[in-house]
Amino acid sequence: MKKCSICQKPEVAVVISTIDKDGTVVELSLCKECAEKKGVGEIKKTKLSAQEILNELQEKISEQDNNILCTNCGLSFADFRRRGRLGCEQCYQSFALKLEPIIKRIHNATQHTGKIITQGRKKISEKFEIRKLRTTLDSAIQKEDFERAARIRDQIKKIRQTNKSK
Amino acid sequence: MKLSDFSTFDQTTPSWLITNDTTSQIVLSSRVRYARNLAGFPFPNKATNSELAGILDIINMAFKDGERIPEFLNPIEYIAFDKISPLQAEFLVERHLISPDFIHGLKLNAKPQSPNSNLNTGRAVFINEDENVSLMVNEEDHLRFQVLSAGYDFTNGLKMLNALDDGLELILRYANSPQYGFLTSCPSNVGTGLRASVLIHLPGLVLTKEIEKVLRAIWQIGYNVRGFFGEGTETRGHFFQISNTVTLGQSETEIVEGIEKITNQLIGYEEKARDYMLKNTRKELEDKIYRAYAILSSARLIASQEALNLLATVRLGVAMNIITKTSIQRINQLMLLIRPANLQVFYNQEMSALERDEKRASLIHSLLNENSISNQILSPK
Repeated sequence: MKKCSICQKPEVAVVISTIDKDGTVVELSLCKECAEKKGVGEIKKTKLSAQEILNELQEKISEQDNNILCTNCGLSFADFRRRGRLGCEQCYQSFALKLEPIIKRIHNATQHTGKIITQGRKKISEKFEIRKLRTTLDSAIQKEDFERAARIRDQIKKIRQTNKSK
Repeated sequence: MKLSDFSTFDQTTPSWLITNDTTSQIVLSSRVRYARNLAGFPFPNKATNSELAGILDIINMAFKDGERIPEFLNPIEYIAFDKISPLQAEFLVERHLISPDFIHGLKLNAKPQSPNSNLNTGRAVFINEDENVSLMVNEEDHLRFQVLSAGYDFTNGLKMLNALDDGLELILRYANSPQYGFLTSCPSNVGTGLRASVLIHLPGLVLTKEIEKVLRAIWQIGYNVRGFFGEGTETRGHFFQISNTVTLGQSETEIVEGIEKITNQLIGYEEKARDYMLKNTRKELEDKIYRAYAILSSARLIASQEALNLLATVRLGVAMNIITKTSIQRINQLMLLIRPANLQVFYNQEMSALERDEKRASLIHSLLNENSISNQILSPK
């Protein structure tokens, strides 16, 4: 077992080879502690994981993506790149130009040819509309966006009134 | 299935595992699912807890309204995620009624709003009595619903799925666009939102070592393959799941037809491999199958993974008429019942790993042979 050249502990974490002026190679074996004391090399294993490196590189490259935001939900395109999930239906429009090549790569197509939503449906139950507006009202209040909350409240009132007058 | 009361769990088998059809010797089950989102709400990963709760409320109301909901969904069991135990959740995963992501991915999905915000707010699943239809609320998308069919059958499954979709669409307003069709949280589901898959048993191709080639070819033409009853690419018991990756630019029928073409091809290869083994390596094959049967009928302790592997081998033996004491259907049932959460629910008690290995061995011992007396407890509904 090799020993540490400084403290003689039977543990060697790093071997430093130096070549001095006359060309002789001098080997210095150090234990972890002594190496750290001498400030040699990066004895501590770097804590960077492959994922982190990848993420950081991506971040650098896509720094500009941080500034492209969805006008509806506020998701940044960089966020989408990181997590692979869009935030709302509006994201498809907000990121339209950037999304199209991605979608094309996945599906080799950019036009839906399947089932289409029934166009004949005229009346969406007011009950559902009100419930939905209530939910958005709640979250607007939570976010202290009172201006928006007031608008939603008026909308609900309007639906209720038209219902009564029927 | 009654999940509301843990003590009254039925001991029956889901309808999609019950089949006498000969094509289901190779294809165990077929699945179709749609991903849909409600217009006007952010997708689940960006929604607040109150929005998630609101979405669930609206979907709940749609079911209570009921008129447009197809008959096969009646009666339906509603399970809210903040009310079930991890064991019950795992039970549902093992039965393919919810995705593993639905319980494991909660942390990833949740927004760190406040330390006490409930990760399961607004998450729920609807399951029909036959256990062939389930509908997840607020997984990756607001709605993900599926129809599971026994054996190799997409016709009926897609019909049911569309009936449910049309019924819901009349009540709910789906997020959609003329260009991209149904809008989904991940662009890989956009368009039809349809994922079609088969769960296929390919022991012949595995034993003749042809499987790698075949799977690689499927990858190359743009379909997804993964080992089943296992994580990632690791395969247990020679089961594979084949599914489409493209959801845009093809109609629902075209997507299903694509999977059918590949499945037909795979069935052909698998049959050839089985013929080859019968002609050239019959003794080795019989030995392997009888050994698997022997271990299953005499082991006193058996782990889930070992049991699945051996059952898959015996399944091949039954399909090739080498083993006649049991049936494909019985093996299918056992493959589900011996899984950790299902086993504990079947015996209605929580068990340690060792206790499970013991109960598992004894369950297999008493059920493997179809003619044994203990058969009655597995009567299908």
